[in-house]
Amino acid sequence: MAGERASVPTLLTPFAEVRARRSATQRALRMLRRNRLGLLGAGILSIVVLAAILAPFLTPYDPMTGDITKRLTCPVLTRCPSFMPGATPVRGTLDHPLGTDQLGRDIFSRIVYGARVSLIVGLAAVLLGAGFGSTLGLVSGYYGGRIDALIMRIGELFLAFPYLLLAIAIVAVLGGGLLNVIIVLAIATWVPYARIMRGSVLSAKEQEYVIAARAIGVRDLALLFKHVAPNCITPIIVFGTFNVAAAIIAEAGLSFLGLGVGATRPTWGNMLADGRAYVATAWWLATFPGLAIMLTVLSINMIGDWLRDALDPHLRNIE
Amino acid sequence: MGQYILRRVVHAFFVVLGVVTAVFVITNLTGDPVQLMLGEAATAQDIERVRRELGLDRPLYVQYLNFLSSVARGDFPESLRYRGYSALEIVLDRYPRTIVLAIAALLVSVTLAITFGTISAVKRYSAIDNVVMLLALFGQSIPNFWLGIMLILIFAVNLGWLPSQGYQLSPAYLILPTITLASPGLARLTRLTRSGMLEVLNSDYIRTARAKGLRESAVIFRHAFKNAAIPLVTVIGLDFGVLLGGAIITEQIFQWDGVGQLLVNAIYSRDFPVIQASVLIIAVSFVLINLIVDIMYTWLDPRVRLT
Amino acid sequence: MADPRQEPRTPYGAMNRNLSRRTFLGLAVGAATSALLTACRREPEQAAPPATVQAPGPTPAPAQPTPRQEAIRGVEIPKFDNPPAGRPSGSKPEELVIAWGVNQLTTHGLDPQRHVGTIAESQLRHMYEPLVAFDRDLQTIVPALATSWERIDDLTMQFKLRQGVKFHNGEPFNAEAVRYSILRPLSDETPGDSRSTYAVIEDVEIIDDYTVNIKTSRPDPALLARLTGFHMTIVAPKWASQGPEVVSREANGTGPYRLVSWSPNEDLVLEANEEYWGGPPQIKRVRLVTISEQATRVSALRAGDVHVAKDMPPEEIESINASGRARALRVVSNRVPFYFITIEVPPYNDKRVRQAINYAANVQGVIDAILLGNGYRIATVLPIWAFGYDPTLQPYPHDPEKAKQLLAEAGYPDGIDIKIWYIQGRYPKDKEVAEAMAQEMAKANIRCTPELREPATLNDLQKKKEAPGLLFASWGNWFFDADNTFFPLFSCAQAKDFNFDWRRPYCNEEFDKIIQAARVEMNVDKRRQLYAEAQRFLYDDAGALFMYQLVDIYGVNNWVLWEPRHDEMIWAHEMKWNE
Repeated sequence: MAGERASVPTLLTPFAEVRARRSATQRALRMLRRNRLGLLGAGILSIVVLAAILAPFLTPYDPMTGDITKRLTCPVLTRCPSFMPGATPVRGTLDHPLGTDQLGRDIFSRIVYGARVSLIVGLAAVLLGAGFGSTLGLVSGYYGGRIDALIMRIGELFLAFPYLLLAIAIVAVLGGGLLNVIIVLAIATWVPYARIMRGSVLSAKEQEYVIAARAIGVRDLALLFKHVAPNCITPIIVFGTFNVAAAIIAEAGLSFLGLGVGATRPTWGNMLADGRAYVATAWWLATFPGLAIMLTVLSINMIGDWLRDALDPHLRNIE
Repeated sequence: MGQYILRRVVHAFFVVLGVVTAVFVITNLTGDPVQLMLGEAATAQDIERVRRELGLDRPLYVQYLNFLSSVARGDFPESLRYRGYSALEIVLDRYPRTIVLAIAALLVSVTLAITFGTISAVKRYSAIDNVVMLLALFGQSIPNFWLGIMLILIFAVNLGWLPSQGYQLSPAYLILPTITLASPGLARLTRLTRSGMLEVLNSDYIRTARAKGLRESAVIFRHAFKNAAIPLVTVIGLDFGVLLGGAIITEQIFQWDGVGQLLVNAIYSRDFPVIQASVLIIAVSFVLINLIVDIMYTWLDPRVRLT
Repeated sequence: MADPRQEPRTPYGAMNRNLSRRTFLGLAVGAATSALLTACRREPEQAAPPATVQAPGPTPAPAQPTPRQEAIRGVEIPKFDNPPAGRPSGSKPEELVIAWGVNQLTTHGLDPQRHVGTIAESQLRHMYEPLVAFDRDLQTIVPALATSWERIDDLTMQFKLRQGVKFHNGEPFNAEAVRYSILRPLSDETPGDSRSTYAVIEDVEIIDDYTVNIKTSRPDPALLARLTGFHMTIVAPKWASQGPEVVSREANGTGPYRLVSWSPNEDLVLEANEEYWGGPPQIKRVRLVTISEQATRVSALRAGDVHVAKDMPPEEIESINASGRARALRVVSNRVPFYFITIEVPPYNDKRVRQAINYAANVQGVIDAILLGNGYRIATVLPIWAFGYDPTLQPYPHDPEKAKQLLAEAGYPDGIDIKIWYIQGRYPKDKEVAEAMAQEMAKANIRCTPELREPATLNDLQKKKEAPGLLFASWGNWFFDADNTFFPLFSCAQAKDFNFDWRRPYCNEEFDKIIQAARVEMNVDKRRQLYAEAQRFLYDDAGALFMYQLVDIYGVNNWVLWEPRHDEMIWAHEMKWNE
């Protein structure tokens, strides 16, 4: 496997390029069939995505509001702990298959709706971070010199900065909310994309076809986007996939510190953060959102593994 | 070589300066600390008085220059929250605790990752490889504050084997926070070690070494390992920064009174000098570690261009 | 839990128990003799049930929420059947560890006179004492460093001081120390955070080594109670005059414990003061710690790492009692959480809207569901044992229909959109209570968005005068007098001092007249009437979203014998090892 290499673009583009890409797609599909974990990951993720899209049709209750008198009802088939002495023991029912939370809201409904926020936060943060980072990396690598030095120094500055402080500062200045959390996570993660992109650009710049294109007077920007970017995109996609998983966990971490996307919005991070006070008393509050996060992140990581193996076996060092 | 190191040091200095400046600007954007210092019962006059006392009524650039000059003199301003204590004094007092935790987590994750990553690579596609990789996948997918709470619940509350929280310089107190802090990095490093080792094991010179009839253990430990370690060293350097930052949440769960917890509390109470001092210390540690890593890198891999 | 106010009252008992406080205030009018003065101290039938040390029982009984009745000022407050201490497990601890969720020893370090926080008070009062103190019933004022007192005229009270007392560093306790200490937090050099509360004190005259006269600038009916405040504790004068840096880092009081070590990064460690005038405490070494994460605090208690822990979640009461290692003890607390209403801005400037909020919030329902009954509903913001409390005023009932009707009358037939700003982690279930009330209010067309505000942001936004509608506040009246609630929270003077921002939004001239009159009214009955009037006014004006008094839930290790207090004070010298 190590001997295989994504086809090296030559001056014979674009035909060779197209063919190479098509064959990469075919190989990816073949690998997917072979790689059962990747298939499993794709399966789980599609369930999550479907649930997020179809949330209003799947959920029996409003995820935002509940009945406080039905607070902390346990999941179906389990026995509810009694918090009041002398209370008759109750069993969970199908009314609330995963039980209710500390305000009497249906946990199943909240998890289904929570998938929306987690996926949006994960995807948007990565798209924003990757877009921003790789643009800077592209500029940095292509122009080199002072611009390069400046961008890379700023990048190091960001890496040396505890991102939590950055997050708290931004939330404190702008206030919480979905958009701000996405921005925070994007800002915290743009540097690696820039570095990957810059590295790829630097090596691509040495390729004959780029030198040739320059020689025949193709403008810089056109050159960048037409010829260099497509060759650097693979590592970005692989890295980005893993980062979606990381962003979902990071959102939970921000919620843990009370800096999440908003208190009543059903998100897995919020549910987990609220549920942590109940781990010893009402285990289902934190367990199910925890499982939801874990499964989703797991499935994305599995897909990431598969993508990496399939698209470029030389990218093993990217996690 | 000497010139290279000098250049790295100068460069590191500017990164630290940049961090300090950024922190100064951001902390000042986030609001006024005086109200928080004085509490509920303070009146507007009290607040004005204290603002004057602390020089917070002066223009921002004056505050910044004062701040820089006092940092340069190593004479940090007084903490706003702990009046009468220099911010640096408080941060340095707590620094060893965070470093102990970060180093423990680093040691654990590096040792285990290299062990399991190597086993996994050598016994590729075996049952043990599958188990290790699956565990690593899970390790990467569990939010670590969740893990921390579960560990307390199981090992301190239910089993009663380990203390639930608190800072003590004894292994018993270190175990749970270390596992919590180390787990994401451990999973990552294990996977990296495995893939790095695999690549090296498939390379020509290893085949040559094998062909010479060297024992497999000698091949792995003497030849393969050193080469596989090169990318690991960089990752470990970067990871150390992640550990220092990640300690914020771990310290919060385990009431481990280190710089991370100090920083969070300082942010909540707008204790500017302590925020600045903590960030400075964390940034300097990170930059230093990476400076060392860079230098080690040139030693490990002479091919690295000294630019 | 049934609403305790539905239980039949015992008017005679109530009157009896009222006697002590009424007596002292009566005396304060000035026509008193010193013979009567001693009578106002502890009388057996007036004191709260003695702090019985529980005998070790074989099995901890389950916590029964059924209230035993205890009458204070004609109000029945629930008394919990707390389980006795079980058999202690393991070996006897070397030191007692007490855990709170918040660290307040920050801005002023160990300086007892300049803090305002109740947790700091609880911790520092181990080392420092005032002249007089409230007994556990929060009704009787008992001698501490003063042995007796006497009202000389409307502006003067005389105190006889305890003789032979020494500070921890050997300095003698005398009139000079009292004069120095009482004036210290009022000075411009070392102003206390709650200076305005004591601004009425004008001077302390030294009559002889063990007699002082405390002079006020106006008649102050609450002076004696005021002097129980922990800002009025007595510090060693020679030592303290070295400056606030010294007082915030070291400690030299007269209290039952002396300082072993403390720094901003370290726990507060104390040891018994073997020369304490009241006899040395039984527990010799104490460590006071902060564990901010609630789940961790509970775990630490259940693991035996902490012996007394404050603010246990109500859901854990059963499991703590069943743990065999600790038990949960409950008392009605002096602390009153409530929500300010941003009263200057429409629609909240309409009284009917504010009333509608009070009708819609379903506070009792929230207490029952979220706090599992561990809250004591009150009509306004005054705790039941505060002087001036009017037991006849009934809390706003839950009535969403009435709320809708009031909103329609005020011109909002479709309801209103409001925000509720809350904080998290400082008080039990603070977040959930806010969210649950928001959920309830929505049923009356008050569409309420809960917004968690980090404390610092909260203050900044408050200053910008954003008007969310409801804004979290919490008050622990520390000398159990209506003056210490109404003046700091609802007076025009304070509103002005705070620039009318949302920390003190309430200023109503009519209400102000009443509470200002009560501040200088030396006739006890008239003063009580004035405060009754004030409560009715505030209630009808719906000056805030009125809620409840907390029920404090303590986790206590079986090695420790202790009866919790109503005033949030956790004092090691009131505890004993269970041997």
